[in-house]
This record gives sequence, structure tokens and C-alpha cells, in this order.
Amino acid sequence: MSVDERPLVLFGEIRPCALVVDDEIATGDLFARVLRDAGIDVIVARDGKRALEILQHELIHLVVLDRHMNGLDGVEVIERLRSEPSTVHLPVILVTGDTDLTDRVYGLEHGADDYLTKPVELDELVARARAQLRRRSPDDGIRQFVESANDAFVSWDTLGTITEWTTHAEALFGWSRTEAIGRPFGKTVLAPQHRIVHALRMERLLHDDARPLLGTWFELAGLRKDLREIPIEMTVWMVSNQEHHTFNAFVRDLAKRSEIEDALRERARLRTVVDGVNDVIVLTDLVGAIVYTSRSAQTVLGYEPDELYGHMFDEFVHSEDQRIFTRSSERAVETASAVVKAQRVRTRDGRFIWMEVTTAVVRDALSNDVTGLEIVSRDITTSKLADAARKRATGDLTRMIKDLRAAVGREHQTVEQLRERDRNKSDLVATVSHELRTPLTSISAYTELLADPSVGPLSGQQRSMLEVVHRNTDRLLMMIENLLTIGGIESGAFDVELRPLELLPIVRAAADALLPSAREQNVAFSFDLSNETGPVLGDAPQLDRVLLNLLSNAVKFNFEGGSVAVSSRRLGPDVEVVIADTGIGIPIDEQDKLFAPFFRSTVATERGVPGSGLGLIIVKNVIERHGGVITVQSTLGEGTTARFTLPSADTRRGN
Amino acid sequence: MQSILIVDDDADVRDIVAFKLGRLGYEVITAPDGATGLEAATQLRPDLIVLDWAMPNLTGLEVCRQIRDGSVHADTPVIFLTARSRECDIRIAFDAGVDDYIVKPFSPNELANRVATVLADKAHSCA
Repeated sequence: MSVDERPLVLFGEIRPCALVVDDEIATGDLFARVLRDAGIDVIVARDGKRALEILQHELIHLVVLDRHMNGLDGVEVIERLRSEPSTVHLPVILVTGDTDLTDRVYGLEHGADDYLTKPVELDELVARARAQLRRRSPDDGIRQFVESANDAFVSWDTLGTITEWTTHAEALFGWSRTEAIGRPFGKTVLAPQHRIVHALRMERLLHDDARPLLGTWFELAGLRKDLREIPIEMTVWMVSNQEHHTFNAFVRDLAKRSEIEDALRERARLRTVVDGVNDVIVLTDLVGAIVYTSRSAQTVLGYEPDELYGHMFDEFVHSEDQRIFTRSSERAVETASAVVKAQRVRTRDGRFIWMEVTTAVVRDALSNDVTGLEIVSRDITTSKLADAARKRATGDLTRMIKDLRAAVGREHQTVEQLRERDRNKSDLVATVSHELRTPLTSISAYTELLADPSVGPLSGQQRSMLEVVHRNTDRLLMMIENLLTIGGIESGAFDVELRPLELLPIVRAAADALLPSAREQNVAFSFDLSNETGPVLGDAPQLDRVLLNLLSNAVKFNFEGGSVAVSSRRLGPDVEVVIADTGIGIPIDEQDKLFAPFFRSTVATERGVPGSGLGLIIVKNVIERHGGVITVQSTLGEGTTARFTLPSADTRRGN
Repeated sequence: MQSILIVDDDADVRDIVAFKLGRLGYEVITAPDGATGLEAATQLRPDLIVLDWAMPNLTGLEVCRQIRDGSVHADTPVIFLTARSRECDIRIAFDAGVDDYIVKPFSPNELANRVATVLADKAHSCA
């Protein structure tokens, strides 16, 4: 391939474009067809004014300009082009209508680069056009073009060395063109956290499968000569000429845009917040290399940013946790959601600390492409240790609670069984009580009604017979009562409620109840219940029962004209009550049987004294339920003395 | 003539009480269970009710409570005549609003005395 036939490549696939300006339609179309056949794009303008408009909007590499036109003529157009910076070097071939030398000189002097005379030789047109396009190097063309843009333009080669640097770039980054050219692009222009991503993008551009990036703007932090970071956005494309590749970029200063400024201020504020927190925030690029770390990386982990940049994050993860990290990253990408896992991260001094690591993908704001990972790590060493301790403790506690529950359950079961038994017993007592009373009620009531004189007259014999029925009915009733009382006491149906009580009223009430039978036998009561003993702790109805029982015995088994003395005295923490009678007494060999069920002394049976043989058992039970003791001393023919103790209500007096 | 309602599931007891009180000049009505007793008390409005506790259909305690909760004749005197002799039972009965409490087996004479006393108290408090 000869030099002339070499295809001109300026912007990758972009072909050179010529603007043909002629007010003769036929001539313009002819020129256009010929140039297109030669591989040059052509735009045709019918007059000078239109040509200038087109030059403002289109990328034109060459102008073929008719000298004589209505309106703006060729020379005027050239003057306008040369006065504009963007078109000052634009190649112009002036086409004159005659061979007038002065005209040609005039044109060249006014800025035309070449000329053709009409009638134009078409091969010559193509040759001169190509010559003009070649004369301007592609770089010159681009520079000329890019200088006209508002954006900075920078080019670099495959080694990353800067090859082009426009005046806008000088203003933006602070490096002069001379200083910039030959320096490495990434290190000169980009903040550290973006350098690796940038290098990767360039790598992608070099590959065939890479999609063109021209028009895709990346927001980055740029680096000025004074090392100040500036927000920039950049679009990059690659120009390939044979084996020679050049990267070109337009760079915009984001700080110039006020709305973006606000956003950046907000971002700066956030950065301050981010730097203030103890969470370590790390951004990686697509391959996992760290491109950014928050200041907390230093305070929490001890690393300087430069020690982290470019390293893979998992280099700092404990070998046992690397799988977790890798899977978290994969899941974050797959599910597009944040994944939180506890992992051990190595500090600069080689320790590992437990961190709660949140992994999420970072996307480009415009393209929505995944650009890397955001890894936020929080020190949870303390809570991890606490967790372990808590878990152990909780485990122990859980076991203990379980054991306790089981024990309590068993206790409950036992208690419930006992209660059930008691309830049954108590219910049985109530039931038996009711069932036995019902027939007795009829017997007892009818016995009384029969004896009523209004029913009919009874003979003396009948009357005495009815009295026996009546007496035995009473006795049967008493026995039933006592039996039920014993059953009730034993089953707990009769609970003893201890309250402070004065003894005297209880003793007096019992004595009063027995007064009729005492009078019958001419037995006298005497009381020596000193107030000195103070109140006792007792259950009034139960103590009633005790005193009635003991006093009635003392009356029943007494001699005509005998006496019953009731006294009390203090005995340590207790109060002792003594009931002494001057009665018949109990034979010695019977005394140890006094508290046996249904035991009746021969003294009682021989004399026909009514009784159930259960009274003393009940008395003993009740006294013992009060925490007291009962003893009976007796001498046959002299009398019997019963003593029992009750707890004193006034413990201050106790010894 | 004052009327007395006797409610008891034991026919013997009904007979005994009816005999005794009838001879004393009271008009005696009997009912064999709680529900019938309550019905009779509402319909016939006796001057006094002698109530057993443990009965089919409705217990004497419940009959007493319903009479006391009723708007009409809520103050009709009630005497319990029951085999239940435990203190707690007696307390419950008085809490339910009975006027007197007699434990079986009972003396018909004593019952008659108590009936007369309760009626006299009632007449006195109304006067």
C-alpha cells in the first residue's frame, strides 16, 4: 500500500470530511461525487454563510471553496475562518473561476492553502485534497478540533505516556503542555483510588470485545499538579492506526457546574462523616483490588492508604474466612444486594480482629455498570467475644433452666398428686358426712316429734324407750362427728389458723356450755387464768373443741361435789394450760392407751358414761397442730390432770 | 296465715318440717329440688323459705342467691337446713344472704323456734 492510498484514520472509524462550497449546484455535486469516490466524506454548502454555519457544527477536515459566490464570496469566508481559533489551521483549497494570477495570489495571501482553477481537472482535485489532508497530521487535526471544545483533551499511548495536552487540560490540572507530555497519565491526572480501574478500562479498550467507550462518561476524582483532588468526568476512546494505538479523552471539570458542586459538597460532608466513623469503608475495582479506603482503615486496622491500594481485599481476610468473603462477593454481584458476614481481618501488626463485613456492588451512576465492590467492615471483636461468652452462658443457663423445669415439673406432679389425694379425702369427708347425717336426721327428728305431746300421749315406758333411742342417736351422731373430725384433721381439711387469742374467754365459754351437766353433778369450776401469761397463738374453734372435750371429761369423770380447776402459766415461749379435776382417775395400766382410737376407760364403760373413744385423739391432734404438747397424769381415786401447751403470742417474753 | 316454703330433696325432711310447722299454724308448701323451689318462691311468694343446700337441678345456695338478686321479694327470709357443718360452708351461706343456718340432724322444735324468731325479726324490721 502506497503512502497516498493509506486510509486516513482520525477517530477510529471516522473518515475525513470535506466541505465543498459552491453556488453552482452542478459543480458542487460533481466535486462531492469525485471526492466521495476517493474515500472522503463530503458536505456541500451553496453559499459562504451556510458554509460557516456547517463549520460550527460539523467536524470538517478540508474546505473546497469557490472564489466567486453570491453573498459572502470565497475570500471573505477564508478571512472569517482564519479569524476563528477552531478553524485557523483548517485546510482550504480555493477554486477560482479564471487563471488570473492576482486572484490566486490574493487567495493564498488571505489564508488559502492551495488553489484550483476552473475548469477543474477532477484528478487534480482529488490529489490536492489528499495532499492537504495529509499535510495536516491527524494529531494536528484532532488538536485543532479539540482546542475548539470546552473540554480538556488528553491523549496517551499504550504505555500510558501522555502525548497530547490541550490548553483546557493545562487550566484544569495545572500542568503545562510541555510538563505534561511524557508523564504517565494515571499518576498525573487521576486520584489514587481510580488508577487501577482506569488501567483496567484501557486494557478492555485494547481488546476486540471491548465496546467503545466514547460517549460514556465516568465520574472520577482527578488530581491537580498541586495534589488537590478535583471532581472530573471523562470519556475515553481509542484510535488505532495499524499497530499504533492512541487513547484519547475529553475531561470535564465537574466543579464548574454549580449543581454538581452542591452534590460534591454533600459528598465531601459525607466523606467527613465516613472518615469519622469506625467502619472501614473499602472500594474495590472489578477484579477486587482496593481503589479507595476510608481514613478509618488507618485507625482501625493500622494501614496507610498506599499500603492497601492495588491489593486484593481478601489478602487481609483470615485464611479460614476467605471462602466466606469470596462467596459474599459473588452473592453480592449475583443478587445485587448487600451481604453481611462476620470475618476475621488482619491488622497491620498481624492480629486478626472480628469484623462484620458488608459487601455490596458499586455501579457507575450513568451506565449502571458494576465498577467494583464496596466493603464496609465493622469491628465486632468485643461483641463476638461477648457472643461466645453469652452463648456458653446461655447454653449453661438453658440446661439449668431445663433441669429446673424438669425438677419443678416433678415437684408439681408430686404436689398435685398429694393435693388430689387431699381433695379426695376432703371430698370423702364431706360426702360421708352428708350421707351419714341424712338418715340420722330423720331418726333424730322423728324421735323428737314422737315425744311431742301434741302428736299423741305416750306411756311412761314408751317415753323412756324413746329417750334411749334419742340418747343413742346423739351418741352415734357424736361418733360420726368425731370420726369425721379426725379424718378431716388427718387429711388437712381442717386447717389450723393461728391468731393471737386471750385464753380466758375461750375457757369460760366452754365451761358455760358444760354448766348444766356440772350443776347436775354438783361440780364446781375454778379459774386461775393470770393475765400475766398474755395471749396465745391459736385457732379459736379448734381450741373450743379441745377445752369442751377436756372440761366435759373432767365433769363426767368426777365425783359428786368435786371440782375442776383451770389455770395457766408461762413456760418459756409457751403458755401451759392445766385442767385438774378431783375425779375418779384412770387406772395406771390404761393411762398409756388414753390417746388410742376408740379407747374407752373401764371407768367410763362401767359407769355408763357416754363417749366415742375419739375425743382425746382429736384433742391431741389439735394441740400438736398448734405446736404444743399434751400430757395427762392421773391417780385412781384422786383425780386427773391434763396439761397442754400453746405458743405464746408475745414472743418478747420468751426466754 | 304465714306461708313457708320447704325445699329439700329428702322427702323425710319435707314431711318432718311440714308436720311440725303445719301443726304450729303455718301454711306449708314443699318443693323437691332447687329449680322447683325457685319457681315456687317466685310464683307463690312465701313469707319464709327453709332451704336444703345439696339438691339436684339447683343448689340451695344458688336458689338463695337468685332470690336475693331478684327485684321482687328479694328480702324473703331464708333459713338453711343442711348437713353441711363446716365453718367455711356456714360463712359462704351467710355471705349469700341466708337469715339463719341449722345443721342436720336437727331438732324440729329448734327449727320451729328459729322460724318464729326470723319471722318476728322480719316483721319488726318492716314495721
